[in-house]
Amino acid sequence: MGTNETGQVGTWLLAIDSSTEQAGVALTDGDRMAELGWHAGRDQSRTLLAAVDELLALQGLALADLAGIVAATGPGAFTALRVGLGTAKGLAFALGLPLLGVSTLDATAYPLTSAGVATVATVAAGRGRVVWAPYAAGAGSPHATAEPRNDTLADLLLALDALPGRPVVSGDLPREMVRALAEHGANVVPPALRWRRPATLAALAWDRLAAGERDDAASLAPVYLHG
Amino acid sequence: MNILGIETSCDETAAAVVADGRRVRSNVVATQIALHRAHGGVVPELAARGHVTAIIPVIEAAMGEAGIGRTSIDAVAVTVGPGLAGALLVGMNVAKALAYAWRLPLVPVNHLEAHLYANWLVEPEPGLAPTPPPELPAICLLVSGGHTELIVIEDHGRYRTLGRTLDDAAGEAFDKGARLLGLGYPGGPAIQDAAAGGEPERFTLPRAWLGGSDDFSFSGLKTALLRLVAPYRLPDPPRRGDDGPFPAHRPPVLLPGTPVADLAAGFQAAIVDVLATKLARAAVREGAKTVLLAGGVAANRALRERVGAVVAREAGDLPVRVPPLSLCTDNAAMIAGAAFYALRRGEQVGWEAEVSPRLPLTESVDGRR
Ligand SMILES: [Zn+2]
Repeated sequence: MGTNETGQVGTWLLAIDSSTEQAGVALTDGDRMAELGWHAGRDQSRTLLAAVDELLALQGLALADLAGIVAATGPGAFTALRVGLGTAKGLAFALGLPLLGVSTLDATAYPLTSAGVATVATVAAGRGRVVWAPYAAGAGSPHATAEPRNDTLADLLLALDALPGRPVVSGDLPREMVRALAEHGANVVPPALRWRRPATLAALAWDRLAAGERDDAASLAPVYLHG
Repeated sequence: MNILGIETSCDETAAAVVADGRRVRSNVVATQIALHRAHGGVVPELAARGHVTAIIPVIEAAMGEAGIGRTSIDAVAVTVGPGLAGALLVGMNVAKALAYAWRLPLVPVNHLEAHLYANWLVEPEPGLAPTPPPELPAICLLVSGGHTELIVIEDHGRYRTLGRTLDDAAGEAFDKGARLLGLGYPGGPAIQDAAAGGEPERFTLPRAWLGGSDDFSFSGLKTALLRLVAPYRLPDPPRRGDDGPFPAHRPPVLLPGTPVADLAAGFQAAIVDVLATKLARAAVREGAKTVLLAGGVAANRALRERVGAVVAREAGDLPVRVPPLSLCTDNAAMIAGAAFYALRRGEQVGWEAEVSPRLPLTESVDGRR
């Protein structure tokens, strides 16, 4: 991995996800993993950096051990996303580290698609709307078979009926929406599987970091998908 | 002591390095005016989006222009409020990350207090001794798009708000007036330009003196202008098509020959007259040793001239100080400047710091004032 500003060679990737009311931070060195996840509600700004500090301490690491930073870029809640991206950009700039952005829908789909399950990844978009994209089953990085869309729940239900192979539905959705999807006959995976793990984000970014990829720290921005 | 200041409370993304609370080593502002012009005002969501992509290049430029690396920075300061929540959060989280990564104190700064401290800043000129700081107690008229306040600065960190606007801020009044006259955005400079050569006495526009109060009100003035413009205004064309999530501003269509210059001059004179007179009277009553202007509207030439004239008439040789233009409008040098004095009082916050979109001037950012 690259030499960071302190002259030491960092080997850990720090992942930051504040896409929705659910927030998390994770670390990976490509093999070992550590993570913290919590229901932040609208409290990302107060909790996020403190969690980074806590996780580093838990793992016995210092900032000098970092090799790169990855942030979830959404889709998700705009303000919450900007808290995470602001934190990630500040850390990357201050430490002279590469910054990567990973789609929140990719991170939602990956645990299921990599286990061979076709998945509709979702994220609540507020005012009863949902952003979603269908993903094919298969090993390797997640593969969306269509562009993400911002739909009403009713439109999502119609679209689900038209998808082949009855994919499962995953993602951070409010309880009422999960109930409506289930009543419609959709196969929504249980909460523990829908929980977006920051370690997934770290894993998705790891290969890109190892391959020398980096995103532009200035222009990296949340995905803004309006209905 | 070098402080890196960061400001994202509204529509300017700014970073600056200031030494010892006074010497501006760099002052970088990326303005979003062009982004908001099409909408006739600041769209909060678009402002926050602009900050996310501008913030890192702006900080880099501020450090580059100051010619210092991160080891020469002694503290990071950031606007904590008042301002737009989503906009403030961008600066706050970047600042937190920098302070955390560099193991530096993080100083939360009240944006209003920072405007006052623009009067302490000096842009060093070789061979010239810096001007001495303003003598206290001072009285300051803080006028911007979001605020119109008359403040006594008793000492560093000790303020008394004598009066404030009961409705629109002065800058907001300029924006609304400019919109009614079909002028550009932002309204202050647009009205100032349009008023050049206009006859301010041609139309009678009301001045809200509010008895002997130190408060201000500009809503009646706006209504009066609306009435004066009405006869010249053509019906609005119907809206066509879909603007998407952020509607575009449609300027009014005015008849050819509308006396825009006279209306703008009259409107500007009415605002400036009330501001200058109330400031001068309060200065005398409070025994202020210095009169200060601060905020974006302090860039207005008519206001500067009128304040000079009225203070000379009412208070003799009481010194009047106005920051240079670049330090009147929102900037981060004032944040870094104010932070120097705040840090001396021990004001700093940890990684759990939050923003305060409605923070008043006279409440400390850490609850101690
Ligand atoms: Zn301001």
